[in-house]
Amino acid sequence: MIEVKNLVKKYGNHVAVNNLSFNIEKGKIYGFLGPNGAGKSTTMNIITGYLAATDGQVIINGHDIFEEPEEAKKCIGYLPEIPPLYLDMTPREYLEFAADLKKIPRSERPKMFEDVAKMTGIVDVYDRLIRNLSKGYKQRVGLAQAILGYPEIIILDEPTVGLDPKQIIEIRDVIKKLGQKHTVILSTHIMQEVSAVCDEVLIIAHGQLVAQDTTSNLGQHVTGSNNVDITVKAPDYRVKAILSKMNEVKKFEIHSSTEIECVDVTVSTDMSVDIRENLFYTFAASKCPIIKMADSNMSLEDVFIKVTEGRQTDKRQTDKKK
Amino acid sequence: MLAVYKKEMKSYFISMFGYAFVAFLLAIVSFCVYMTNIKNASPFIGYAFNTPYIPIIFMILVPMLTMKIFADERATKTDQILFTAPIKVSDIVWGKFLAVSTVYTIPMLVIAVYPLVLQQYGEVPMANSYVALLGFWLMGLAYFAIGVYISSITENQVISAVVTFAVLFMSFIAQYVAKILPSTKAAGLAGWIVLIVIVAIIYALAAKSVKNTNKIAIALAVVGIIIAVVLFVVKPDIYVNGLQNLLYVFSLDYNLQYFIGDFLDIPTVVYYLSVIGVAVYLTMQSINKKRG
Repeated sequence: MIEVKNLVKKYGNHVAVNNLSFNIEKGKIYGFLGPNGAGKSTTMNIITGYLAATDGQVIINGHDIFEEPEEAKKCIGYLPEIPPLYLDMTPREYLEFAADLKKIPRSERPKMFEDVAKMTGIVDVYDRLIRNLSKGYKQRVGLAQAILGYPEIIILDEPTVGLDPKQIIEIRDVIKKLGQKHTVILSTHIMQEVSAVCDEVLIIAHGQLVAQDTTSNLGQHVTGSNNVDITVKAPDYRVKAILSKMNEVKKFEIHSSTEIECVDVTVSTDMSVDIRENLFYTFAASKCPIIKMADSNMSLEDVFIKVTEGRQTDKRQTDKKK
Repeated sequence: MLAVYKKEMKSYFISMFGYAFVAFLLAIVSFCVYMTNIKNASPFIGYAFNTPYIPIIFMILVPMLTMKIFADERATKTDQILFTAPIKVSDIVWGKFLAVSTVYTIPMLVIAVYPLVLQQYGEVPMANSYVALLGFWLMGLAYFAIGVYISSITENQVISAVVTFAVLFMSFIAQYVAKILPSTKAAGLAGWIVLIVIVAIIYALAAKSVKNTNKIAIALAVVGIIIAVVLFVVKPDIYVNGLQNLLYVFSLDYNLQYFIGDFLDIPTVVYYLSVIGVAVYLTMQSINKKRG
C-alpha cells in the first residue's frame, strides 16, 4: 500500500528524517508515534506530497509520489496538524471546493457530503462560517475534507488535539469505522489512543524507525520475553523450588510483598509461551495459593519511553565518540 | 485549475477587495479619460492610458489583489490542501493568475465601452482605440503576473505588498533613470554584464530542482559575459544606447507607447506575454523550491 524506502529529509544541516523505511499494509489502522520533533509531521508531509524529500522513495499504491504525484495523491486523504481551512467559507463551500480539487463527479456529491457530514458530526454547523467555529468543529471539518472521496489511504496528523473528551471518543469511533474499509495512519502523542484505536504501531525517534509491531506485541517485543507478576501465599524457598522445576520458566525474581506471609514473583518465559494456567495448577497442586496474577508486559508508555530514550542515549554516545 | 479559479473568484467577491479594485480602477481611468478626452475634446482614448497616473495606480492596485494570493495560503497553511490535492502546481498557479486577470478584466470591459460613447460626439479612430485598449490590458496582466510571483516568495502579506510596490515603482522609474545615464558603448556593455549576473543569481535562487544549480548559474554568467564582450569587440555598434534600451525593457509602462496611435505592434504583444510567462514560470519554481 505505502512503501517508504530510505527516506531522508534535511533542512540545511538539520536532519529531520534519517533514512526512514517502512511498509504500510492495506486495511489496518497504524499509529505513528514519536516524541516532539521526531519527524512525524515531516514524514507525513512527504508521503502526502506536500514536501519534497532530500533523498529516498515513497510509493503509494504502485505510484511514486515524486514521479507521478497526481496518481499517488488521488489515493490519499490528508488532515494536517493545522487543518487547512479557509476561514471565509462555510463547511458546505469548503467541502465543495475540496470535491472540486479531488475531481469528485458532481452526481456523487450530495450523498457523499451528507454521509461525511454525518460521520464527522458537522451537520449542525454546516452553513456557518468556519471562522466562527470552535476548535473541535474546525478539526472535524478538516477531517471531513480528508475523508471526502473515500480515498484508500487516510492520513491524520494528531486528529484529536483540542477536542473535548466526548468528541475524542466520537472521533476515535469515526477512525475505527474508517479502518474497516480504509488504511488509516494517525500520528499522536496520546498512548491510550493508540491502544484504543490502532492495530499496529510505528515508533520513530530522531527521524528513524525504532519499533514497528502490533499494539499487543510491542511490549513483549521490547523486553524480548513474556512476563507475569504473581503474588503467592508461601515462603520464598518453596516458591523457588516450585518455579525451578517448571521448564517453561526462563527466569524469575522474588520480591517481598505488601501482603502478609506472601511473596511477589515476576516470572519470565519465551515470547510465545502463555504460562498463566500452568502456574495456577502447579501452585495449586503444591497447596500454595496464588493471591494475585497479572500480565506484566510493558505498557505502551514504557515501551515508548524505552525505545525513544534508548535511541537518544545511543545517539549521545555516538556523538561523543565522534 | 477550475477549482482554484472558482475559489479565488469567490474569495475576491466575498471580501470587498474585488469590488474596491473594480471601482477604484474605473474611477481613475474614467478620470483620465475625462481630463484628456472630454475636457480637451480629443477623440483618441489612447492618450488617456499613456499618462503617468496609470502606472502609479497600478503600483497601488496590483498589490491589493495579489498580496495574499500565495503569501496568505502559506501563512495559514491552507496551501497544504492545494499541494496534497491531485492537481499540478501549474494548475494552481494558472488558476490563481486567471482569477486575478478576470477581476482586472471586469473594469476593462466597462472601459471598452468608452470609445463607443466618445463616438456619439464625433469621429473616433476605432481601430487605434481598441489596439490601445488591448495594450493597456496586456500591460495590466503583466503587472499582475509580477505581483503573483512576488506573493509566492514570502508568507507575509505586508512584505508581499511592499515588495510588489517597490518592484513596480522601479519598473516605472527605469525609463526616467535611462534618460540621465550615459549612452556610450561601454556603459551599454556594463549594463548587459550587470543584467547577466542578475539573471544568473535569480536562476540560482529560483531553480533548486536542478542539481548543481550554483555551478550552472556561474557557467551561465561566465558564458553570457564572454559573449557580451566578444560582441563588444566584433560589433560595438549594437551597444550604442545599450543601457537605455536595457532599462526600457524593464519599464512595462514605457512599452505601452507602442500601442498608442499605432497599429498592433506584435513585438510588444510578445514582450508583454513573455513577461507574463516568465513571472508565472518563476512562481511555479518558487513554489517548488519552498516545498523542497
